[in-house]
Amino acid sequence: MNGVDLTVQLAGLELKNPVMVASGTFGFGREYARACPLRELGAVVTKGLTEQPKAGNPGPRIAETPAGMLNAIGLQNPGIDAFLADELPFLRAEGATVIANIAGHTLDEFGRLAERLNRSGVAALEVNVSCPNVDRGGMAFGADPAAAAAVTRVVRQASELPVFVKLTPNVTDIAAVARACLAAGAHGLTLINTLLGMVIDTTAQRPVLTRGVGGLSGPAILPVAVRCVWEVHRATGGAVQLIGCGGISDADSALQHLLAGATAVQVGSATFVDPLTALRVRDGIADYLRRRGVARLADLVGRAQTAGGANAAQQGSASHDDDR
Amino acid sequence: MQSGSGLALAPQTAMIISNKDEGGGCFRLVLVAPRAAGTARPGQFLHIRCGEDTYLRRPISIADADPTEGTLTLLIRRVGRGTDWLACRRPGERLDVIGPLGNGFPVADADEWWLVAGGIGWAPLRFLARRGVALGKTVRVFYGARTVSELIGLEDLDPYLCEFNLTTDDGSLGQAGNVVGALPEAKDAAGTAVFACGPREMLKAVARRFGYGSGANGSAGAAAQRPALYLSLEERLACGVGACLGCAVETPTGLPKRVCADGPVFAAEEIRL
Repeated sequence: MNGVDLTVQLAGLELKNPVMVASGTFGFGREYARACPLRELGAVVTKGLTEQPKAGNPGPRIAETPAGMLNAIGLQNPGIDAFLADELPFLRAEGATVIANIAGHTLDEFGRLAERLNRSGVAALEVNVSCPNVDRGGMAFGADPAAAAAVTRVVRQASELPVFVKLTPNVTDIAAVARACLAAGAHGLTLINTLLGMVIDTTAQRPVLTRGVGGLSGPAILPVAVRCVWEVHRATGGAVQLIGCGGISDADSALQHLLAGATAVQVGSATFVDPLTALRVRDGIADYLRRRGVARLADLVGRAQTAGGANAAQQGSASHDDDR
Repeated sequence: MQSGSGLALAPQTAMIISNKDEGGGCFRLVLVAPRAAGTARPGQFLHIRCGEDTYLRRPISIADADPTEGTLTLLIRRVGRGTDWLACRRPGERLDVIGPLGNGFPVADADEWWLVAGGIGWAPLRFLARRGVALGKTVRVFYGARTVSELIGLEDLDPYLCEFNLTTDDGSLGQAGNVVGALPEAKDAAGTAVFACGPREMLKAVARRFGYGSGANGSAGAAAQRPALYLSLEERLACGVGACLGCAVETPTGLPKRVCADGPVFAAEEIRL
């Protein structure tokens, strides 16, 4: 792309570009493939997979919020067998780089899922220890460093694939969970899953979502996600590769993640608003690199940590300059 | 999924030609959107961005399409911030729309079509009524609302081509009571196709009336006597294309279906309301 190198080396994977689509926002690619060529994406991260088909939560499952939305889908998915038989062949035929998101209810289920996917043709695993919408598994694992590490270990043992652990921001110290996952062998981390939230219908005087709570996503969570990437990058001394996710709707929001320390990014709910968001973000990042005379995307990763911004952050000051 | 519909997923610009208050908290938008107008079928919807203060698009039923003129008509009830924003748009302004989305009503073989509408549920059925008349079907409309001002868009249809049965809860026009009370006996419905769109409670009542739902799927004999019944559901949508699974509807067996992509129109036996 005009002398700009967008390829990304991520835990042994080479991605065409740093822009993936996030788990749960892109199904298994079938719907959006008609508008957004899957081979042009950095990767497609699948809907969270369980061993058995899962019906998810009763509706309403979504609610709009200021600059975002809540969801409480509850990991509805057709199960690993149907994924391997029906969905993965489609994704591969479309030329997609596939990262399978796995969401076991138990340690054993995580292990079995990883084993089934090991030589299936997926490029990597994303371990979901951060879903806020289920009663067992999900965030219960990700909120506890020891439990998150245990899941990571099981998945690493069960497969040879690169393993990215997707963390929840609903913790006091995300860096502690990150360090535990790394020590357990994670190749990288995806930051972040949704924030726990609630919307109340003041006419009906009850929560909009049947489950009550749901996961907040959208532009509203961008600063939280960028802060998490920043903290984990700093806490790990840049020793681990991060995938930034949360509030990305354009090149600028993606660049914030990259400058904070992410090597790649995921576009989530913004795809609902514009199905072509991921491709626009990719093109916008390329434009930025060209304009700034940066030859390689990798040169951008974590640059805000070392370029004065770090000192400013340490002093707790912030710029409100929005003129760009 | 039909081929070539990838274009329907890419946002397109639609220019507003007119925006008219219809009373009863409803308004009528006419848009120039040639690509969407060229393929829109009754029962499909447009997914519309509603300004900067709402994040998600709003699904709006298509109430008519004119492929020759390249126009779409929408009948919309103001129910919140998104539709309030749309109500304030003026001719010449442009909207960001995706669509047409959804499966639309099937073209039923039956010679007689009964259309059962509750409130703004009339919007997609209005389009279907015109299609039915054009196909030479006998179209009988049963249209109910709370009060006369909420019966909208009636003047669009030629009463000589279509039978109208109107009801209002308060008796201000037509038969007093709800629309289900105006429906003929179930036995007279055999061999017809019934299409319904309206509040969930109304859909449930229509289904019961014609021998569907509540475990009344009954004997094979009873099933053969009942009309084909198609229900158009309304639900909160995020993506609108079947990817997010935000708009699930339960089914008698297996995983939920997606209102946006598997529907919004379902044969009554496919779903559990």
